Amino acid sequence: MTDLSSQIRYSADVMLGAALDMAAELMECGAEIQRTEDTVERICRAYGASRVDVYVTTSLIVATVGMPDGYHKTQTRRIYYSQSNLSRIEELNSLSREICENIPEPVEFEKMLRQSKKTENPRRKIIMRYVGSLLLAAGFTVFFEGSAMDALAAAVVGLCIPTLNLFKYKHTNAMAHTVMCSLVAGVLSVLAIAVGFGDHADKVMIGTIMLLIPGVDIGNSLRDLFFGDIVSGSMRLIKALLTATAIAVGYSIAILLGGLLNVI
Amino acid sequence: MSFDFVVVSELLKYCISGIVATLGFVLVCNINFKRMPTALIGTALTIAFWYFALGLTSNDFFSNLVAAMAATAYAEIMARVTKTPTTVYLVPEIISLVPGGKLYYTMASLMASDTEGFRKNGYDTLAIALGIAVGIVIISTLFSIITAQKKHFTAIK
Repeated sequence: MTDLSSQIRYSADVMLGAALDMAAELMECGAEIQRTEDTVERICRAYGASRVDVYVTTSLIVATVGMPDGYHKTQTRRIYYSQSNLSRIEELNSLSREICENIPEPVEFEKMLRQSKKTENPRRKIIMRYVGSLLLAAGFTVFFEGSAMDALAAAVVGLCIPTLNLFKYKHTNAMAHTVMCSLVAGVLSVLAIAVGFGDHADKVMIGTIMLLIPGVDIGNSLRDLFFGDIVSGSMRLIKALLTATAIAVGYSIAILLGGLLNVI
Repeated sequence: MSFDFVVVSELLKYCISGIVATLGFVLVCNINFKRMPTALIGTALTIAFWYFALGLTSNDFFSNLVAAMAATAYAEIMARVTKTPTTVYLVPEIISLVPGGKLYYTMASLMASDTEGFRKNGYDTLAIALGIAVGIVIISTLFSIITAQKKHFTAIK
């Protein structure tokens, strides 16, 4: 093997690796399957691949890229968790457009991806999550016919969800975490009503339930299913249904407690 | 249905509370601030469609179908205009249609062994969810057909 061709192969490896890192991050932020597959294919084609086979599911990405000189390379990425992050999807989308246009050196591409991740401010994200939870719980309480006092109670109780999410790590069991979140939120809602903070226990609980509802998963699963990504679509749908069941388990204990305290 | 004070004030209540809730949702989902006004206008549009369709037919399935169709069409168009992934707009608009209230009452009647309530609320939840699903699917497959045609013809050129 000549020096030149080994260098070409090395840059193809780096390029595929960076493209897959980008795809894995897209999936972690809650992008659709089609978009992720499309992104990998576009980037590889831009770098001169003659053949790209990429298969994305919600937990695994497999891609084989073939270069014109007959060199093939396969890489995989495992995805463990997902947390919707709409602005990151958008950022990665525009980064991939930029890369397809300018085609920087693969090492440079890798560096750009790493740098764009660094610009995220984790503290700002956490603050936004708190403010968002407050508004979401209050807004939906009024939307589902609750009183102003209910909205206030839901907003305060809802703050427990982002707090609990601070303790959610990569290998935390998502279902157990959801049960715990809904149990804590439900019990706190009932206790708030019991001490006279808020008027209707049901409205306060509905407001806090909306914080846990897997809205992004449901929306994406339908689009995936009907765009032909049956495996990922059904995986996402089942995940959403399991999450809904976990929510039901947590809140039903709170409802039992509410019955005992005579607030429901 | 007439356009009297009650209708307007009720619609305003739904719209404002829905927009506040969606604002909270997009903050939790870490949306790009530049996309926020467009997403929130879409929410108001979705809620208006839902409210009037519900007033005209008092049918949960139909009203959510219409609202989801309007939301998806708006999201797909805005995504193309601003060169953003559709999800960025679609998710905030659909969230206000999600039957959180009915879901809660289904569960509560299950706990209270209220068979009739369970049947009714469970049916409503399903009808709403199905309406949203069908609405999203109809419009987004329509847009994907158009996109595929466009891709095909630019490839021929």
